[in-house]
Amino acid sequence: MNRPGLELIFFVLMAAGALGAAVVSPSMTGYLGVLFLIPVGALLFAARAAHEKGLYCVCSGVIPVIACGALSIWAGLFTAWMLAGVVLSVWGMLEGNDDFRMYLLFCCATFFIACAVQLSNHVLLPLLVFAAGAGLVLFVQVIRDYQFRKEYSGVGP
Amino acid sequence: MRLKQCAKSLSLLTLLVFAGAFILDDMAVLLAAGMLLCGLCGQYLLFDRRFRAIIRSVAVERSLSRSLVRRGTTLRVTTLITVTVPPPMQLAITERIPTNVAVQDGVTYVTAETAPSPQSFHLSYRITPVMYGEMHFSGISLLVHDLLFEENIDLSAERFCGPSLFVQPAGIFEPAAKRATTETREIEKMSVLSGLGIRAIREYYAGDDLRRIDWKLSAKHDKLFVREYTGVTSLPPLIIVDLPSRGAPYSPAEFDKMVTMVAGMVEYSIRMYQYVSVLLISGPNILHLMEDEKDLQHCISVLREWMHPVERTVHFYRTQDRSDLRSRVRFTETALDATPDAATLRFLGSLRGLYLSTLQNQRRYAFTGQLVRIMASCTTDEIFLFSLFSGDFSHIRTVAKQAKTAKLLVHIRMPESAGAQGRAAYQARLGADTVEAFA
Repeated sequence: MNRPGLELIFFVLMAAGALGAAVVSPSMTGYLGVLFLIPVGALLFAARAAHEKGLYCVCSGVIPVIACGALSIWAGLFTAWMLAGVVLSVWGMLEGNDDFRMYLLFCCATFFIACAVQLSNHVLLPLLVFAAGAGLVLFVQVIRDYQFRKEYSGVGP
Repeated sequence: MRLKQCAKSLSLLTLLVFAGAFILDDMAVLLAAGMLLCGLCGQYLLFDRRFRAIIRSVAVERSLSRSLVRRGTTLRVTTLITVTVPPPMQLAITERIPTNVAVQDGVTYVTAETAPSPQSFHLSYRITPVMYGEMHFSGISLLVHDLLFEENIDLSAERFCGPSLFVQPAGIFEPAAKRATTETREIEKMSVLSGLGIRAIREYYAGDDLRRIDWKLSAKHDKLFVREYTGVTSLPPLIIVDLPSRGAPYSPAEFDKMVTMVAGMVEYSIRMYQYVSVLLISGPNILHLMEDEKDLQHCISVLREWMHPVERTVHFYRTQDRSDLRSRVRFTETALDATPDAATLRFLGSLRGLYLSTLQNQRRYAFTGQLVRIMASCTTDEIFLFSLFSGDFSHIRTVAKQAKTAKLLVHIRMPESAGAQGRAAYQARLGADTVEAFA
Protein backbone atom coordinates (compact mmCIF):
# COMPACT_ATOMS: atom_id res chain seq x y z
CA MET A 1 0.00 0.00 0.00
CA ASN A 2 1.32 3.44 -0.89
CA ARG A 3 0.67 6.57 1.08
CA PRO A 4 -2.09 8.62 -0.61
CA GLY A 5 -1.26 12.22 -1.51
CA LEU A 6 -2.30 14.63 -4.24
CA GLU A 7 -3.79 11.78 -6.24
CA LEU A 8 -6.32 11.21 -3.44
CA ILE A 9 -7.56 14.80 -3.72
CA PHE A 10 -7.98 14.40 -7.47
CA PHE A 11 -9.74 11.07 -6.99
CA VAL A 12 -12.14 12.51 -4.42
CA LEU A 13 -12.91 15.40 -6.80
CA MET A 14 -13.46 12.93 -9.63
CA ALA A 15 -15.83 10.88 -7.48
CA ALA A 16 -17.65 14.04 -6.41
CA GLY A 17 -17.99 15.10 -10.06
CA ALA A 18 -19.35 11.71 -11.10
CA LEU A 19 -21.79 11.68 -8.18
CA GLY A 20 -22.90 15.23 -8.97
CA ALA A 21 -23.50 14.31 -12.62
CA ALA A 22 -25.48 11.25 -11.55
CA VAL A 23 -27.60 13.36 -9.16
CA VAL A 24 -28.25 16.12 -11.71
CA SER A 25 -29.15 13.68 -14.51
CA PRO A 26 -30.32 10.50 -12.80
CA SER A 27 -29.97 7.63 -15.26
CA MET A 28 -28.48 4.16 -15.51
CA THR A 29 -25.38 5.54 -17.26
CA GLY A 30 -24.74 8.00 -14.43
CA TYR A 31 -24.89 5.24 -11.82
CA LEU A 32 -22.57 3.12 -13.95
CA GLY A 33 -20.08 5.99 -13.97
CA VAL A 34 -20.12 6.08 -10.19
CA LEU A 35 -19.89 2.31 -10.00
CA PHE A 36 -16.87 2.17 -12.28
CA LEU A 37 -15.00 4.57 -10.00
CA ILE A 38 -14.63 1.70 -7.52
CA PRO A 39 -12.04 -0.23 -9.57
CA VAL A 40 -10.15 3.05 -10.16
CA GLY A 41 -9.93 3.67 -6.43
CA ALA A 42 -9.07 0.06 -5.69
CA LEU A 43 -6.23 0.05 -8.23
CA LEU A 44 -5.02 3.42 -7.00
CA PHE A 45 -4.45 2.03 -3.53
CA ALA A 46 -3.64 -1.58 -4.32
CA ALA A 47 -1.06 -1.35 -7.11
CA ARG A 48 2.53 -1.21 -5.89
CA ALA A 49 4.73 0.26 -8.63
CA ALA A 50 4.01 3.85 -9.67
CA HIS A 51 4.10 3.21 -13.41
CA GLU A 52 1.73 0.25 -13.07
CA LYS A 53 -0.60 2.24 -10.85
CA GLY A 54 -0.83 5.10 -13.36
CA LEU A 55 -1.39 2.79 -16.30
CA TYR A 56 -4.11 0.82 -14.52
CA CYS A 57 -5.80 4.06 -13.44
CA VAL A 58 -5.90 5.28 -17.05
CA CYS A 59 -7.28 1.97 -18.32
CA SER A 60 -9.94 1.70 -15.64
CA GLY A 61 -10.65 5.47 -15.62
CA VAL A 62 -11.62 5.59 -19.30
CA ILE A 63 -14.98 3.92 -18.54
CA PRO A 64 -16.16 6.52 -15.95
CA VAL A 65 -15.04 9.26 -18.38
CA ILE A 66 -17.18 7.71 -21.13
CA ALA A 67 -20.10 7.18 -18.73
CA CYS A 68 -19.99 10.77 -17.46
CA GLY A 69 -19.46 12.01 -21.03
CA ALA A 70 -22.63 10.20 -22.04
CA LEU A 71 -24.54 12.27 -19.46
CA SER A 72 -22.89 15.52 -20.39
CA ILE A 73 -19.72 16.36 -22.34
CA TRP A 74 -18.70 18.80 -19.60
CA ALA A 75 -19.09 16.16 -16.88
CA GLY A 76 -16.92 13.85 -18.98
CA LEU A 77 -14.37 16.64 -19.44
CA PHE A 78 -14.22 17.27 -15.71
CA THR A 79 -13.80 13.55 -14.99
CA ALA A 80 -11.01 13.39 -17.57
CA TRP A 81 -9.21 16.35 -15.99
CA MET A 82 -9.38 14.74 -12.57
CA LEU A 83 -8.25 11.40 -13.97
CA ALA A 84 -5.28 13.15 -15.60
CA GLY A 85 -4.51 14.76 -12.23
CA VAL A 86 -4.60 11.36 -10.52
CA VAL A 87 -2.30 9.76 -13.09
CA LEU A 88 0.18 12.64 -13.21
CA SER A 89 0.35 12.73 -9.40
CA VAL A 90 0.98 9.00 -9.26
CA TRP A 91 3.77 9.33 -11.85
CA GLY A 92 5.35 12.22 -9.96
CA MET A 93 4.69 14.67 -12.78
CA LEU A 94 2.83 17.21 -10.69
CA GLU A 95 5.50 18.43 -8.33
CA GLY A 96 6.71 21.84 -9.47
CA ASN A 97 5.11 25.00 -10.81
CA ASP A 98 6.18 24.04 -14.29
CA ASP A 99 4.29 20.74 -13.96
CA PHE A 100 1.09 22.51 -12.88
CA ARG A 101 1.48 24.91 -15.78
CA MET A 102 1.65 21.96 -18.13
CA TYR A 103 -1.41 20.43 -16.47
CA LEU A 104 -3.33 23.66 -17.02
CA LEU A 105 -2.20 23.65 -20.65
CA PHE A 106 -3.57 20.11 -20.95
CA CYS A 107 -6.88 21.27 -19.44
CA CYS A 108 -7.10 24.14 -21.94
CA ALA A 109 -6.32 21.88 -24.90
CA THR A 110 -8.88 19.31 -23.82
CA PHE A 111 -11.44 22.07 -23.31
CA PHE A 112 -11.13 22.92 -27.00
CA ILE A 113 -11.39 19.24 -27.87
CA ALA A 114 -14.60 19.03 -25.79
CA CYS A 115 -15.94 22.12 -27.59
CA ALA A 116 -15.19 20.47 -30.93
CA VAL A 117 -16.96 17.29 -29.80
CA GLN A 118 -19.93 19.29 -28.47
CA LEU A 119 -20.35 21.11 -31.78
CA SER A 120 -20.15 17.97 -33.91
CA ASN A 121 -23.10 15.78 -34.80
CA HIS A 122 -21.09 12.73 -35.83
CA VAL A 123 -17.76 11.19 -34.89
CA LEU A 124 -16.16 11.10 -38.34
CA LEU A 125 -15.29 14.78 -38.79
CA PRO A 126 -13.69 15.38 -35.36
CA LEU A 127 -11.96 12.02 -35.67
CA LEU A 128 -10.37 13.15 -38.92
CA VAL A 129 -9.42 16.46 -37.32
CA PHE A 130 -7.72 14.64 -34.43
CA ALA A 131 -5.90 12.29 -36.77
CA ALA A 132 -4.77 15.19 -38.95
CA GLY A 133 -3.64 17.13 -35.88
CA ALA A 134 -1.66 14.19 -34.53
CA GLY A 135 -0.14 13.57 -37.96
CA LEU A 136 0.83 17.23 -38.26
CA VAL A 137 2.47 17.17 -34.83
CA LEU A 138 4.44 14.06 -35.77
CA PHE A 139 5.47 15.51 -39.13
CA VAL A 140 6.73 18.73 -37.56
CA GLN A 141 8.54 16.71 -34.90
CA VAL A 142 10.28 14.55 -37.50
CA ILE A 143 11.64 17.64 -39.25
CA ARG A 144 12.67 19.28 -35.99
CA ASP A 145 14.33 16.06 -34.87
CA TYR A 146 16.27 15.81 -38.13
CA GLN A 147 17.53 19.36 -37.82
CA PHE A 148 18.43 18.87 -34.18
CA ARG A 149 20.36 15.68 -34.84
CA LYS A 150 22.10 17.27 -37.78
CA GLU A 151 23.42 19.94 -35.46
CA TYR A 152 24.58 17.62 -32.68
CA SER A 153 25.35 14.35 -34.47
CA GLY A 154 26.16 15.54 -37.94
CA VAL A 155 23.79 12.95 -39.45
CA GLY A 156 20.10 12.14 -39.49
CA PRO A 157 18.52 9.59 -37.12
CA MET B 1 12.16 8.26 -30.14
CA ARG B 2 10.95 4.96 -28.79
CA LEU B 3 7.86 4.22 -26.73
CA LYS B 4 8.37 2.40 -23.47
CA GLN B 5 6.02 -0.34 -22.33
CA CYS B 6 3.74 2.11 -20.54
CA ALA B 7 3.42 4.40 -23.56
CA LYS B 8 2.82 1.44 -25.87
CA SER B 9 -0.07 0.30 -23.69
CA LEU B 10 -1.55 3.81 -23.62
CA SER B 11 -1.21 4.14 -27.40
CA LEU B 12 -3.00 0.83 -27.87
CA LEU B 13 -5.75 1.93 -25.51
CA THR B 14 -6.13 5.22 -27.41
CA LEU B 15 -6.44 3.39 -30.72
CA LEU B 16 -9.03 1.01 -29.29
CA VAL B 17 -11.11 3.84 -27.87
CA PHE B 18 -10.91 5.72 -31.19
CA ALA B 19 -12.02 2.56 -32.99
CA GLY B 20 -14.87 2.18 -30.50
CA ALA B 21 -15.92 5.79 -31.06
CA PHE B 22 -15.91 5.28 -34.82
CA ILE B 23 -17.89 2.02 -34.67
CA LEU B 24 -20.45 3.22 -32.07
CA ASP B 25 -20.55 6.78 -33.41
CA ASP B 26 -20.62 7.92 -29.77
CA MET B 27 -19.37 11.41 -28.86
CA ALA B 28 -18.62 10.46 -25.23
CA VAL B 29 -16.23 7.72 -26.39
CA LEU B 30 -14.67 10.18 -28.84
CA LEU B 31 -14.16 12.62 -25.99
CA ALA B 32 -12.31 9.95 -23.97
CA ALA B 33 -10.18 9.05 -26.98
CA GLY B 34 -9.40 12.73 -27.60
CA MET B 35 -8.31 13.13 -23.99
CA LEU B 36 -5.98 10.16 -24.26
CA LEU B 37 -4.50 11.40 -27.54
CA CYS B 38 -4.02 14.87 -26.12
CA GLY B 39 -2.33 13.48 -23.03
CA LEU B 40 0.03 11.28 -25.02
CA CYS B 41 0.95 14.03 -27.48
CA GLY B 42 1.47 16.46 -24.61
CA GLN B 43 3.76 14.07 -22.78
CA TYR B 44 5.71 13.46 -25.96
CA LEU B 45 6.20 17.17 -26.61
CA LEU B 46 7.24 17.67 -23.00
CA PHE B 47 9.74 14.83 -23.25
CA ASP B 48 11.12 16.26 -26.46
CA ARG B 49 11.57 19.69 -24.88
CA ARG B 50 13.44 18.24 -21.90
CA PHE B 51 15.50 16.00 -24.16
CA ARG B 52 16.68 19.01 -26.15
CA ALA B 53 17.47 20.90 -22.97
CA ILE B 54 19.65 18.01 -21.79
CA ILE B 55 21.53 17.78 -25.08
CA ARG B 56 22.13 21.54 -25.16
CA SER B 57 23.63 21.39 -21.66
CA VAL B 58 26.20 18.71 -22.49
CA ALA B 59 29.89 19.69 -22.45
CA VAL B 60 32.70 17.19 -23.03
CA GLU B 61 36.41 17.50 -22.31
CA ARG B 62 38.61 14.54 -23.16
CA SER B 63 42.31 14.09 -22.56
CA LEU B 64 44.78 11.32 -23.35
CA SER B 65 47.82 10.45 -21.30
CA ARG B 66 49.74 10.24 -24.59
CA SER B 67 48.75 11.28 -28.08
CA LEU B 68 51.41 9.35 -29.99
CA VAL B 69 51.87 5.70 -29.11
CA ARG B 70 53.03 2.48 -30.59
CA ARG B 71 50.53 -0.27 -31.36
CA GLY B 72 49.96 -2.39 -28.28
CA THR B 73 50.83 0.39 -25.84
CA THR B 74 48.28 1.05 -23.14
CA LEU B 75 47.27 4.61 -22.38
CA ARG B 76 44.72 6.29 -20.16
CA VAL B 77 41.80 8.34 -21.42
CA THR B 78 39.96 10.74 -19.13
CA THR B 79 36.68 12.32 -20.14
CA LEU B 80 34.89 14.99 -18.16
CA ILE B 81 31.21 15.30 -19.04
CA THR B 82 29.02 18.08 -17.67
CA VAL B 83 25.26 17.82 -18.09
CA THR B 84 22.02 19.02 -16.52
CA VAL B 85 19.25 16.45 -16.12
CA PRO B 86 15.86 18.02 -15.31
CA PRO B 87 13.30 15.92 -13.42
CA PRO B 88 11.84 13.39 -14.15
CA MET B 89 14.39 12.44 -16.81
CA GLN B 90 17.14 9.89 -16.47
CA LEU B 91 20.28 9.72 -18.51
CA ALA B 92 22.85 7.09 -19.43
CA ILE B 93 26.12 8.26 -20.96
CA THR B 94 28.38 5.93 -22.91
CA GLU B 95 31.77 6.84 -24.30
CA ARG B 96 32.10 6.15 -28.02
CA ILE B 97 35.38 4.33 -28.17
CA PRO B 98 37.26 4.24 -31.46
CA THR B 99 37.27 0.99 -33.32
CA ASN B 100 40.48 -1.00 -33.25
CA VAL B 101 41.22 -0.33 -29.61
CA ALA B 102 40.76 -2.75 -26.75
CA VAL B 103 39.50 -1.35 -23.46
CA GLN B 104 41.67 -2.74 -20.67
CA ASP B 105 39.80 -1.45 -17.65
CA GLY B 106 38.05 1.59 -16.24
CA VAL B 107 34.67 3.25 -16.62
CA THR B 108 33.18 3.99 -20.04
CA TYR B 109 29.53 4.20 -18.97
CA VAL B 110 27.75 6.26 -16.37
CA THR B 111 24.13 6.91 -15.42
CA ALA B 112 22.94 10.31 -14.26
CA GLU B 113 20.02 10.87 -11.97
CA THR B 114 17.82 13.92 -11.91
CA ALA B 115 19.37 17.09 -10.52
CA PRO B 116 18.43 20.74 -11.01
CA SER B 117 22.04 21.92 -11.31
CA PRO B 118 24.74 20.77 -13.78
CA GLN B 119 26.47 17.53 -12.81
CA SER B 120 29.99 16.46 -13.75
CA PHE B 121 31.02 12.90 -14.51
CA HIS B 122 34.54 11.54 -14.92
CA LEU B 123 35.05 8.59 -17.22
CA SER B 124 38.52 7.19 -16.87
CA TYR B 125 39.67 4.09 -18.69
CA ARG B 126 42.70 2.56 -20.34
CA ILE B 127 42.84 1.48 -23.95
CA THR B 128 45.28 -0.48 -26.04
CA PRO B 129 45.33 0.20 -29.78
CA VAL B 130 45.37 -3.02 -31.76
CA MET B 131 45.83 -1.37 -35.15
CA TYR B 132 48.03 1.47 -36.29
CA GLY B 133 46.94 4.74 -37.86
CA GLU B 134 45.06 7.80 -36.68
CA MET B 135 42.23 7.12 -34.28
CA HIS B 136 39.59 9.67 -33.50
CA PHE B 137 37.38 9.74 -30.44
CA SER B 138 33.95 10.25 -31.93
CA GLY B 139 32.00 11.69 -29.02
CA ILE B 140 29.56 10.13 -26.62
CA SER B 141 26.21 8.36 -26.77
CA LEU B 142 23.32 9.43 -24.61
CA LEU B 143 20.22 7.48 -23.71
CA VAL B 144 17.55 9.75 -22.23
CA HIS B 145 14.40 8.24 -20.84
CA ASP B 146 11.45 8.95 -18.59
CA LEU B 147 8.44 6.85 -17.68
CA LEU B 148 6.89 6.83 -21.15
CA PHE B 149 9.56 7.54 -23.76
CA GLU B 150 13.22 6.98 -24.44
CA GLU B 151 15.54 8.48 -26.98
CA ASN B 152 19.17 7.94 -27.80
CA ILE B 153 21.55 10.18 -29.64
CA ASP B 154 25.18 9.99 -30.64
CA LEU B 155 26.82 13.32 -29.94
CA SER B 156 29.46 13.30 -32.62
CA ALA B 157 29.64 17.00 -33.46
CA GLU B 158 33.11 18.49 -33.38
CA ARG B 159 32.85 19.89 -29.85
CA PHE B 160 32.17 16.42 -28.41
CA CYS B 161 34.94 14.64 -30.33
CA GLY B 162 38.69 14.42 -30.23
CA PRO B 163 41.50 14.42 -29.53
CA SER B 164 43.13 12.20 -32.13
CA LEU B 165 45.39 9.36 -31.19
CA PHE B 166 48.26 8.56 -33.51
CA VAL B 167 49.27 4.94 -33.38
CA GLN B 168 52.53 3.88 -34.93
CA PRO B 169 53.01 0.35 -36.19
CA ALA B 170 54.91 -1.91 -33.86
CA GLY B 171 57.93 -3.87 -34.87
CA ILE B 172 60.26 -1.06 -36.03
CA PHE B 173 63.07 -1.80 -33.65
CA GLU B 174 66.68 -0.97 -34.21
CA PRO B 175 69.12 -3.79 -33.48
CA ALA B 176 69.94 -4.10 -29.82
CA ALA B 177 73.19 -2.53 -28.76
CA LYS B 178 75.89 -4.72 -27.25
CA ARG B 179 75.26 -5.14 -23.58
CA ALA B 180 78.03 -3.96 -21.30
CA THR B 181 77.52 -5.90 -18.10
CA THR B 182 78.93 -4.37 -14.99
CA GLU B 183 78.49 -7.02 -12.42
CA THR B 184 78.27 -4.67 -9.48
CA ARG B 185 76.84 -1.28 -8.81
CA GLU B 186 78.02 1.49 -6.48
CA ILE B 187 75.61 2.60 -3.78
CA GLU B 188 75.62 5.62 -1.51
CA LYS B 189 76.15 3.70 1.69
CA MET B 190 78.85 1.85 3.54
CA SER B 191 79.68 -1.66 2.52
CA VAL B 192 82.34 -4.29 3.10
CA LEU B 193 83.46 -3.90 -0.47
CA SER B 194 84.17 -0.38 -1.60
CA GLY B 195 83.79 1.02 -5.07
CA LEU B 196 85.77 3.71 -6.84
CA GLY B 197 83.37 6.61 -6.28
CA ILE B 198 83.73 8.93 -3.29
CA ARG B 199 80.68 9.05 -1.10
CA ALA B 200 81.94 11.60 1.47
CA ILE B 201 85.03 13.23 2.96
CA ARG B 202 85.57 13.43 6.70
CA GLU B 203 88.26 14.14 9.23
CA TYR B 204 90.81 11.48 9.99
CA TYR B 205 90.29 9.39 13.09
CA ALA B 206 92.87 7.14 14.65
CA GLY B 207 92.66 3.70 13.07
CA ASP B 208 91.53 4.89 9.62
CA ASP B 209 93.26 3.36 6.65
CA LEU B 210 96.15 5.64 5.70
CA ARG B 211 95.58 4.82 2.03
CA ARG B 212 92.28 6.66 2.20
CA ILE B 213 93.79 10.00 3.23
CA ASP B 214 93.13 12.74 0.70
CA TRP B 215 96.58 14.37 0.72
CA LYS B 216 95.67 17.31 -1.47
CA LEU B 217 92.74 18.35 0.73
CA SER B 218 94.74 17.68 3.90
CA ALA B 219 97.55 19.96 2.67
CA LYS B 220 95.10 22.69 1.80
CA HIS B 221 93.40 22.73 5.21
CA ASP B 222 96.39 21.63 7.25
CA LYS B 223 94.32 18.83 8.72
CA LEU B 224 94.02 15.16 7.80
CA PHE B 225 90.98 14.22 5.74
CA VAL B 226 90.00 10.75 4.58
CA ARG B 227 87.81 9.67 1.70
CA GLU B 228 84.83 7.46 2.25
CA TYR B 229 84.29 5.33 -0.77
CA THR B 230 80.94 4.20 -2.05
CA GLY B 231 79.79 0.72 -1.22
CA VAL B 232 79.30 -1.99 -3.77
CA THR B 233 76.29 -4.18 -4.07
CA SER B 234 75.17 -6.83 -6.47
CA LEU B 235 72.67 -6.00 -9.17
CA PRO B 236 68.92 -6.21 -8.49
CA PRO B 237 66.93 -8.66 -10.56
CA LEU B 238 64.62 -7.74 -13.39
CA ILE B 239 61.13 -8.81 -12.34
CA ILE B 240 58.93 -9.91 -15.22
CA VAL B 241 55.24 -10.46 -14.52
CA ASP B 242 53.17 -12.32 -17.09
CA LEU B 243 49.54 -11.29 -16.62
CA PRO B 244 46.77 -13.65 -17.72
CA SER B 245 44.63 -12.90 -20.74
CA ARG B 246 41.18 -11.48 -20.09
CA GLY B 247 38.53 -14.11 -20.65
CA ALA B 248 40.95 -17.02 -20.34
CA PRO B 249 40.43 -19.30 -17.34
CA TYR B 250 42.81 -18.79 -14.43
CA SER B 251 42.86 -19.47 -10.72
CA PRO B 252 42.12 -16.28 -8.73
CA ALA B 253 43.72 -17.81 -5.63
CA GLU B 254 46.97 -18.46 -7.48
CA PHE B 255 46.80 -15.03 -9.04
CA ASP B 256 46.48 -13.44 -5.60
CA LYS B 257 49.48 -15.44 -4.46
CA MET B 258 51.43 -14.22 -7.46
CA VAL B 259 50.48 -10.60 -6.78
CA THR B 260 51.57 -10.93 -3.15
CA MET B 261 54.84 -12.51 -4.16
CA VAL B 262 55.59 -9.87 -6.79
CA ALA B 263 54.83 -7.06 -4.32
CA GLY B 264 57.09 -8.70 -1.74
CA MET B 265 59.89 -9.11 -4.22
CA VAL B 266 59.61 -5.50 -5.35
CA GLU B 267 59.76 -4.30 -1.75
CA TYR B 268 62.72 -6.55 -0.99
CA SER B 269 64.55 -5.38 -4.07
CA ILE B 270 64.09 -1.71 -3.22
CA ARG B 271 65.22 -2.26 0.37
CA MET B 272 68.22 -4.33 -0.63
CA TYR B 273 69.36 -2.71 -3.86
CA GLN B 274 67.68 0.70 -3.62
CA TYR B 275 65.86 0.28 -6.89
CA VAL B 276 63.97 -2.26 -8.96
CA SER B 277 63.03 -2.86 -12.57
CA VAL B 278 59.67 -4.43 -13.30
CA LEU B 279 58.46 -5.50 -16.72
CA LEU B 280 54.77 -6.28 -17.11
CA ILE B 281 53.83 -8.49 -20.02
CA SER B 282 50.78 -10.44 -21.05
CA GLY B 283 51.61 -13.10 -23.57
CA PRO B 284 53.82 -11.53 -26.24
CA ASN B 285 52.62 -8.00 -25.36
CA ILE B 286 54.84 -5.60 -23.46
CA LEU B 287 52.48 -3.66 -21.21
CA HIS B 288 54.63 -1.52 -18.95
CA LEU B 289 58.24 -1.16 -17.95
CA MET B 290 59.36 0.42 -14.70
CA GLU B 291 63.06 0.92 -15.07
CA ASP B 292 65.28 1.61 -12.05
CA GLU B 293 62.36 2.69 -9.91
CA LYS B 294 63.29 3.79 -6.40
CA ASP B 295 59.92 4.82 -5.04
CA LEU B 296 58.20 1.87 -3.38
CA GLN B 297 54.85 3.67 -3.20
CA HIS B 298 54.94 4.35 -6.91
CA CYS B 299 55.84 0.73 -7.61
CA ILE B 300 52.97 -0.53 -5.52
CA SER B 301 50.51 1.87 -7.13
CA VAL B 302 51.62 0.78 -10.61
CA LEU B 303 51.27 -2.86 -9.62
CA ARG B 304 47.84 -2.17 -8.17
CA GLU B 305 46.85 -0.53 -11.44
CA TRP B 306 48.08 -3.36 -13.63
CA MET B 307 47.57 -6.52 -11.64
CA HIS B 308 44.51 -7.96 -13.32
CA PRO B 309 43.81 -9.95 -16.48
CA VAL B 310 44.34 -7.79 -19.55
CA GLU B 311 43.25 -7.79 -23.14
CA ARG B 312 45.94 -9.29 -25.33
CA THR B 313 46.42 -7.68 -28.72
CA VAL B 314 48.93 -10.24 -29.97
CA HIS B 315 48.85 -13.97 -29.26
CA PHE B 316 51.47 -16.67 -29.57
CA TYR B 317 50.46 -20.26 -30.05
CA ARG B 318 53.22 -22.85 -30.23
CA THR B 319 55.36 -20.20 -31.86
CA GLN B 320 58.72 -21.23 -33.17
CA ASP B 321 61.50 -18.74 -33.65
CA ARG B 322 64.42 -19.09 -36.04
CA SER B 323 66.66 -20.93 -33.60
CA ASP B 324 63.89 -23.47 -32.89
CA LEU B 325 63.44 -24.09 -36.58
CA ARG B 326 67.18 -24.43 -37.11
CA SER B 327 67.40 -26.99 -34.31
CA ARG B 328 64.53 -28.93 -35.88
CA VAL B 329 66.29 -28.89 -39.25
CA ARG B 330 69.40 -30.23 -37.54
CA PHE B 331 67.32 -32.90 -35.82
CA THR B 332 65.77 -34.07 -39.10
CA GLU B 333 69.19 -34.12 -40.78
CA THR B 334 70.57 -36.30 -37.99
CA ALA B 335 67.55 -38.57 -38.20
CA LEU B 336 67.92 -38.80 -42.01
CA ASP B 337 71.46 -40.07 -41.62
CA ALA B 338 70.42 -42.69 -39.09
CA THR B 339 67.23 -44.01 -40.78
CA PRO B 340 67.42 -46.86 -43.33
CA ASP B 341 63.65 -47.07 -43.92
CA ALA B 342 62.61 -45.51 -47.26
CA ALA B 343 59.18 -44.28 -46.11
CA THR B 344 60.66 -42.60 -43.01
CA LEU B 345 63.35 -41.06 -45.19
CA ARG B 346 60.72 -39.58 -47.49
CA PHE B 347 58.79 -38.25 -44.51
CA LEU B 348 61.85 -36.73 -42.86
CA GLY B 349 62.97 -35.27 -46.17
CA SER B 350 59.65 -33.52 -46.74
CA LEU B 351 59.61 -32.38 -43.09
CA ARG B 352 63.08 -30.90 -43.47
CA GLY B 353 61.95 -29.14 -46.65
CA LEU B 354 58.99 -27.65 -44.80
CA TYR B 355 61.18 -26.45 -41.96
CA LEU B 356 63.65 -24.92 -44.38
CA SER B 357 60.97 -23.11 -46.38
CA THR B 358 59.46 -21.77 -43.14
CA LEU B 359 62.89 -20.73 -41.93
CA GLN B 360 63.53 -18.73 -45.09
CA ASN B 361 60.48 -16.54 -44.51
CA GLN B 362 60.67 -16.46 -40.73
CA ARG B 363 61.39 -13.01 -39.33
CA ARG B 364 62.20 -12.00 -35.80
CA TYR B 365 59.14 -11.31 -33.66
CA ALA B 366 58.54 -7.79 -32.41
CA PHE B 367 58.22 -9.19 -28.89
CA THR B 368 61.70 -10.71 -29.16
CA GLY B 369 63.12 -7.40 -30.34
CA GLN B 370 61.47 -5.53 -27.47
CA LEU B 371 62.79 -8.04 -24.96
CA VAL B 372 66.30 -7.80 -26.31
CA ARG B 373 66.20 -4.02 -26.07
CA ILE B 374 64.83 -4.06 -22.53
CA MET B 375 67.34 -6.62 -21.33
CA ALA B 376 70.13 -4.60 -22.90
CA SER B 377 69.06 -1.43 -21.15
CA CYS B 378 68.47 -3.00 -17.70
CA THR B 379 71.63 -3.61 -15.76
CA THR B 380 70.95 -6.93 -14.13
CA ASP B 381 72.31 -10.41 -13.74
CA GLU B 382 69.14 -12.35 -13.24
CA ILE B 383 65.48 -12.23 -14.01
CA PHE B 384 62.55 -13.45 -11.99
CA LEU B 385 59.57 -14.38 -14.13
CA PHE B 386 56.15 -14.75 -12.50
CA SER B 387 53.47 -16.46 -14.52
CA LEU B 388 50.30 -18.49 -14.01
CA PHE B 389 51.19 -20.65 -17.03
CA SER B 390 47.59 -20.58 -18.22
CA GLY B 391 47.42 -21.41 -21.90
CA ASP B 392 50.32 -21.30 -24.31
CA PHE B 393 53.73 -20.42 -22.91
CA SER B 394 55.68 -19.74 -26.09
CA HIS B 395 56.28 -16.19 -24.88
CA ILE B 396 57.81 -17.48 -21.64
CA ARG B 397 60.12 -19.67 -23.69
CA THR B 398 61.09 -16.60 -25.69
CA VAL B 399 61.81 -14.65 -22.50
CA ALA B 400 63.91 -17.46 -21.08
CA LYS B 401 65.79 -17.89 -24.34
CA GLN B 402 66.58 -14.18 -24.70
CA ALA B 403 67.66 -14.02 -21.07
CA LYS B 404 69.97 -16.95 -21.60
CA THR B 405 71.37 -15.29 -24.70
CA ALA B 406 72.06 -12.19 -22.62
CA LYS B 407 73.77 -14.44 -20.03
CA LEU B 408 71.18 -13.77 -17.35
CA LEU B 409 70.04 -16.27 -14.76
CA VAL B 410 66.39 -17.19 -15.18
CA HIS B 411 64.24 -17.91 -12.13
CA ILE B 412 60.67 -18.87 -12.84
CA ARG B 413 57.88 -18.71 -10.29
CA MET B 414 54.70 -20.57 -11.15
CA PRO B 415 51.56 -21.92 -9.44
CA GLU B 416 51.88 -24.72 -6.95
CA SER B 417 49.28 -26.78 -8.81
CA ALA B 418 51.84 -27.86 -11.41
CA GLY B 419 53.50 -30.07 -8.82
CA ALA B 420 57.18 -30.88 -8.38
CA GLN B 421 57.32 -33.04 -11.51
CA GLY B 422 55.58 -30.39 -13.57
CA ARG B 423 58.03 -27.76 -12.38
CA ALA B 424 60.95 -30.00 -13.25
CA ALA B 425 59.48 -30.54 -16.72
CA TYR B 426 59.05 -26.80 -17.23
CA GLN B 427 62.61 -26.19 -16.02
CA ALA B 428 63.91 -28.64 -18.61
CA ARG B 429 61.78 -27.27 -21.43
CA LEU B 430 62.44 -23.61 -20.71
CA GLY B 431 66.07 -23.96 -19.72
CA ALA B 432 65.45 -22.00 -16.53
CA ASP B 433 67.96 -22.03 -13.70
CA THR B 434 65.29 -22.46 -11.04
CA VAL B 435 61.56 -23.09 -11.13
CA GLU B 436 59.68 -22.67 -7.88
CA ALA B 437 56.06 -22.50 -6.80
CA PHE B 438 54.44 -19.36 -5.39
CA ALA B 439 54.99 -19.42 -1.67
